[in-house]
Amino acid sequence: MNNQNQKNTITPSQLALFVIQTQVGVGVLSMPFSVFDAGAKTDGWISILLAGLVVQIIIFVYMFISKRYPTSNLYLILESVFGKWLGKFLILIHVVYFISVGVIILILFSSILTVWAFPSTPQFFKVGIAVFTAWYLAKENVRVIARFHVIVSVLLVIVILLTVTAFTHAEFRYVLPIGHTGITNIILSAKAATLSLLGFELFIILFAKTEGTLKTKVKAATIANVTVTLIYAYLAFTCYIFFSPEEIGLVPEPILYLIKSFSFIVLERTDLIFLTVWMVSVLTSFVGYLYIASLGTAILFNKTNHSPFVWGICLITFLFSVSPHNVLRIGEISELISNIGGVFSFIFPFVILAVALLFKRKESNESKTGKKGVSST
Amino acid sequence: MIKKMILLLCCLILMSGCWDSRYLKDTQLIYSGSFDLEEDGQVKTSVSIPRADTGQDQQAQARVVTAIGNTVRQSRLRIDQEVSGRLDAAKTRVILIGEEAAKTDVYSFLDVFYRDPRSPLNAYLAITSGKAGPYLEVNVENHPLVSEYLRDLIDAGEQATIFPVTNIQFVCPILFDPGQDVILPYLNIKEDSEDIHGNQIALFNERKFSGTLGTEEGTMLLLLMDKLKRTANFTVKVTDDKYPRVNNFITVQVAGIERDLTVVEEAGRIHADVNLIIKVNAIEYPEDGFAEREITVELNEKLGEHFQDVANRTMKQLQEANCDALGIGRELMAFQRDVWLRNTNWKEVYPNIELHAHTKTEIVKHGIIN
Repeated sequence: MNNQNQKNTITPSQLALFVIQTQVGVGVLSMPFSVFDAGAKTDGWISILLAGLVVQIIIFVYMFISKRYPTSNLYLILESVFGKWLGKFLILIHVVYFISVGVIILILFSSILTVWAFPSTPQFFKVGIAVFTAWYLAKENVRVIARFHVIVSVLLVIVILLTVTAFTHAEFRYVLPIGHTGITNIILSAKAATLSLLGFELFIILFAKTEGTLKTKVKAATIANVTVTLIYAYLAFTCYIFFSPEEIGLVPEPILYLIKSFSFIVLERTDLIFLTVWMVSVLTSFVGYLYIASLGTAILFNKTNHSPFVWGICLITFLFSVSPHNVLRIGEISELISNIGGVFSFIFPFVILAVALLFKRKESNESKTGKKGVSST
Repeated sequence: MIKKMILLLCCLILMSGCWDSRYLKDTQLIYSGSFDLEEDGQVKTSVSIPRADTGQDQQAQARVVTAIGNTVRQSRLRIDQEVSGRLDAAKTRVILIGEEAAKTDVYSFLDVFYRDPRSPLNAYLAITSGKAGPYLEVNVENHPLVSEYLRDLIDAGEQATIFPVTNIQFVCPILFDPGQDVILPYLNIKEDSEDIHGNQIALFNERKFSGTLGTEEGTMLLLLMDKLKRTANFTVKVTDDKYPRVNNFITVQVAGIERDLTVVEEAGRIHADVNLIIKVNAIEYPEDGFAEREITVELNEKLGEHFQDVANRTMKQLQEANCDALGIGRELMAFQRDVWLRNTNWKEVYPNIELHAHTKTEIVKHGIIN
C-alpha cells in the first residue's frame, strides 16, 4: 500500500485509457440521438469524425502549453499564466465546472436507470451507491485510479460485441447517400458531437504526471482520441443503419434500444447486461471528474494532497443530484453545462497558449521548486 | 479486518435491490395477446395466461381474459383488475392484431410496447383474418398452450420463407420510413376446420393493413426482397395429360437466389426492375428423366414461365395494395435523391410506377435419382 502510494506517476498507456474511460460515460447512450437531432441526421457519424479532428487540434495546443510547462498541471499553469488572483479565480471556476459535470453525470445516470431498469428504487439510493464507490476510488492516488480504469477497459469490448448483432438486421440504405444533409448541417452537428467527447481536458491535467517524453505523451493522447472517436462513430453508424431516420427521432437512447431488440437463447434482456457494463463506464468518468475537481480544490487551498477534499466534493455532488428536479430541468441544465464545457475545453486552451506566448510566460525555476510538491500530487 | 467485514455485510444488504424485485409467484405472465377494434372504436384486448394451479403431472392449461378500454393500456389495466396478481407482459411470445384494427393504424396498438422498457420487443406479430380474440381460444391437440402453438406456427413459416422474419421492433423502423412498407404474417381459420392456417402475408400501406398475398405470391415476394430463409417450396404444374394426375406436377425447393434491383427514371416515369435468378432443387417429379438434357431444359422453361407469372401477379397485387414492400422509395432516397425529392408524394406515385420482375429459373439438383 505504502509502496504504491509513493508512485505518483502513470505510464502513457495508462494515461490513454484513463482519458478514454472518462470520455466514454453517461453520454454514450444518447450520443447517436443528440448528434442526429442537431441536424446532421444520418450523417451524424461524419460529424463525430470531424469532432475527433477538432479534439486532436486541442491536443496539439495542449502539447505546446505542456512544452512551456512540462511539470505543471492545468491549475498551476493557470496560476502562472494569469497571476495569483486571477489564476485562483480561474481555478475556482474550473473546479465548479468539474463538480457540475459530476452532478449532471449522476442525475443522468439515475434517471436512465429509473427509466430502464429500476423504476421504484429511490433516487438517493442509486446516486448514493455511485457516489460511495466513486469516493472509494477517487481518494486514492492517480496511479491506483489509472489502474482501475485500465482493468475496466475490457468492458468497452463487450459494448462493441453487443452492438454487432444489429448488423444482422441492418439496412444500409438508411445512411445513403453519404453527406446528403449538407456540409453546414454536418459541421453544426459536430458541435453536439464534440460535447459528447468532453473529458479530454484531463490530458492537460495528467500530462504532468505521465512518465516519458512529451512526444510519447502526445502519442498516447492521440491514440486515445482516435479510439474514442472511432468507437463513437461506429456506435452512431450502427444506430443509423438499424433505425430508420424517422424513428431515431423517437428514441433518445438508441444504443440501449437497439440492444434490447435482440435476445439470445438464454439471455432475454441484453439491454440490462449492457446497462451493467455502462454503469462502470459512468463510474469511471465520474471518478475522473471527481479526481480533477478535488485536485483543483487542493491547489486552491495550497495543499499537496487531494484525498481530503474528495469526500466533501462527493457530498456536494450527492446533495445536488438528489435535489428535486424534473425532466425539462435536467435537459436545460445538462445543455447549459455542456455548452460551458465547450468553452472550457475548446476556447480556454487557446487563450492560455496565447497569453503564455504573448507575455512569454514559462515554467520558472522558482515555481518548479516552490510548487513541486503540489504538482506531483 | 473487522471493518472490512462490516463493510462487506453492508454491501450485501444494500446490493440486494429490494425495491424493484418482482416475484414470479405474484405475477401472471401473459404468453400471447390480441387486439381488436370494437364498433365504437374502443380497443378489445384478450390475453392468454397459463393457469397457475396446474400440477406437475397435469398438462399445462391457459385461460383467456378479455377487457375493453379506450386505449390498449387501459384495457390491459382492466384485465389486471380481473386476474389475481400482477400482469406481466415481458414474456409475451405472440401479438395478434385483428384485421379491422389493423386497417386503422397498426402503430397505435404497438406504441405501448415501444414505450415500456420491459416489453417484449422480440415477440412475433401477426394479423388475423376477422377478429383476433378467437384465435387465442382455439383448441389444438398436442399443444395445450395456444401461445406456443402460434409461436411455432409463425416460426415454421419464417423458416420456410412463407412469412417475413419480423418482431415488434423490426417493423418499427419500416413503419416510420416513408420509402418502405411493412409486411406481416396473416393467419386465418378455415371455415371447414378448427385449425389456424398460417400461409399468407398481410400487406400494409404505410401503417394501414391494405391487402393480402397468397402462399405462392407471398414466398415470391420474399424472394424478390432477397429474404430467402432456410427453404422455400413451390409445386408447379408442368404438363396436362399425364396419368395419374400427380405426374403432371414437379415440386421444387429453392436452393439459392441472385437478386438485383434497379430503379431508374426515364422520361418522368420511374422504372423499377427486379432481376431474380432462382436456382431450384427438384424434390419430387414422378416422371423422371433429368438425365436427358432436353427434358431438363424444358422443365427449366416451364418453371421459369410459371415463376414469371407468379412474380407478375405479386407485383400487381403490391401496387394494388399500395405496399412498397421492396423499398423502391428507400432505394430512390439512397441512390437518386433528386428523383426522390421530386416525388415526395410517394404514396400517390408508387401505384403507377413501372414495377416489373424478371425471373430466370434453373434446376441445379434433382436428388439422388435422375
